[in-house]
Amino acid sequence: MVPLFLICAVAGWLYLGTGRALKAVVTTEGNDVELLMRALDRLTRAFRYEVIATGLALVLFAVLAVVTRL
Amino acid sequence: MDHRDAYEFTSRENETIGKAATWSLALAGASFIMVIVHLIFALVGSQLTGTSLRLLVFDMGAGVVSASCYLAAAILFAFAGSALRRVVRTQGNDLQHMLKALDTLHRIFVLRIALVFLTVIAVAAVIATGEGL
Repeated sequence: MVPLFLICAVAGWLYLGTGRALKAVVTTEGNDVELLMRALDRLTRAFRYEVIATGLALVLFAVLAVVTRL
Repeated sequence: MDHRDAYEFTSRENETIGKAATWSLALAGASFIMVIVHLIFALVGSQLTGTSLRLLVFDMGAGVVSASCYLAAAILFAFAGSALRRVVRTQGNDLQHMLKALDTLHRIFVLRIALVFLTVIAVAAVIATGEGL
């Protein structure tokens, strides 16, 4: 469970960064596209971590299902 | 056409957007797999014999609700990924596609926040009525 928690925590942190970058697009002027790209980059990393977390959760589900059947 | 709508992202920006599209679609796929897993657990994991009807309905209901939420997320992630992919592949409408993708992402986040509150309420309900089950 610890790796899953860590991956989700990192994804959460990246979502916060994405939110801050998107907020900066609204509140600042003259650098919108670069800030949007920064937000998308963080969002991509958050998505990647979530896919990894889902994969790990699936493996964990499979292991639990096998163990509880035994 | 409004001059601002004609903005085209550069190849470097398209690369960043393309990666976001790829991982959004990957997350849609992962969410869809979770739909199947939750449905299997709801159907196979519930013991039909010797279990009260209320507990059975609660067990299966929780699984079906989780599966529905994952399904909604999967569809929205697929929409967001497709919109981002269109930003890269098409020309002349980049900002409109980007705004559509951001709007879909906004819906995903609202759904997820609602899901967190629903989970908290469900856990509180289980604790409160646990003895009754």
